[in-house]
Amino acid sequence: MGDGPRLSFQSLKVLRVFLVAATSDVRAELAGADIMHAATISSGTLYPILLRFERLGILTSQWETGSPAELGRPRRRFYRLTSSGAQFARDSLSDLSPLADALAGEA
Amino acid sequence: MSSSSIAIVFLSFALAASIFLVVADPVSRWLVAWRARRLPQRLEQRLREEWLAEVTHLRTPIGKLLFALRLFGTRTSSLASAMDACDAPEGLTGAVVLSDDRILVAPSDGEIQVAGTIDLVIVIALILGGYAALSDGMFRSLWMSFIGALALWHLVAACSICLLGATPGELIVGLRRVTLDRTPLTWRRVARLFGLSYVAHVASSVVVVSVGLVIAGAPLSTLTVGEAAAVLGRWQFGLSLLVLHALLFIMSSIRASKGSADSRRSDPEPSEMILVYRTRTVTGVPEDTSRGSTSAMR
Repeated sequence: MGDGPRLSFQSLKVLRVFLVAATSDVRAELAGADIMHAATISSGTLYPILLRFERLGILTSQWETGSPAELGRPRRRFYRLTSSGAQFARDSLSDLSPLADALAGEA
Repeated sequence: MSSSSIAIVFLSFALAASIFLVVADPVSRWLVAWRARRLPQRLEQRLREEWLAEVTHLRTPIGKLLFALRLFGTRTSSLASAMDACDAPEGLTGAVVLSDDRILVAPSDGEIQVAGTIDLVIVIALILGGYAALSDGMFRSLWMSFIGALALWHLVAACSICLLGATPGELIVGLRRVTLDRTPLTWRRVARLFGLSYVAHVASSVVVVSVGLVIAGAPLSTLTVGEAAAVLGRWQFGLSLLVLHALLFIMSSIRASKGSADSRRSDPEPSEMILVYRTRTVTGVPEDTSRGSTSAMR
């Protein structure tokens, strides 16, 4: 953890949302609004975190299947943990157990 | 507090709530589209669609507005710092490869404004030409010329977009219109787009003329045809009408440019997803525009 990226409280919240989702489906994919509600953070905070995690290889993302014409609306972008990202999330939350407890308390 | 005051307060709140419900969705779309436009190109192209999709997905007007407002207040640097490693979306977001040496890239605001100005000059020329061509009489007014010029302009623009891929002003600047889903611009889709715009212009003309008549001291209820023609024929009235519509035209042009059509309240049908792009000739595809943007559009 010491050599890894610095994580804010909100970043840990996002990681926890993905880990919780992964308990039911390892390849769970979440869109921005879903993560925002589950982590109870604002959109302005969420997207820099998502982009940063994607850059670090913790998350990967892809567009919703189908074209905008077929869907009749813009496509959503779905994020999911990479295998290394899942390990990183578990390590981060276990290393910070008091904070993880606080996170669990908020959920 | 009297019962009438309570009723007024209640009605005011009801009116404010109704207005909020009506404007929350379009305002939210406008806010996220505006925010995305201020981002670096590759990030803009990805996040605009992503954010608009989330605004569409959110159900409550308050939720939509909060989502947009909080993005609106986010610093560009906090988003841009992660740009380099993010994939551009598939489809028509990112530079589009036309051929080995031609790509489409998003134009600058200045290019779009220049194209819009050229179109505006053409419209004004049509108005003045129509005014000069109209024979003397009650129909010889700037207002009548304006309506006629608008009808002609929309026809010219629709034909130009269908046949050449852009309005005359955009052609001169070197911009092209393409659809978000990369399907061709058909007559039907262009007619639907310009039909709405035409109806909106005519409707606004009727409103402006009515207001102008009232301001000129000619109440509609007692106005004779001759009096109306006299008021409509005054050059001051025609000029003020021209200025008002020029402003409307500029505003609608800005809205139509750079994908701001996505921010309209109605569902984003393919016909409304017409983006303006610029053709650039390059020697090979630059590295920063080739990633995730290899959709051929021959």
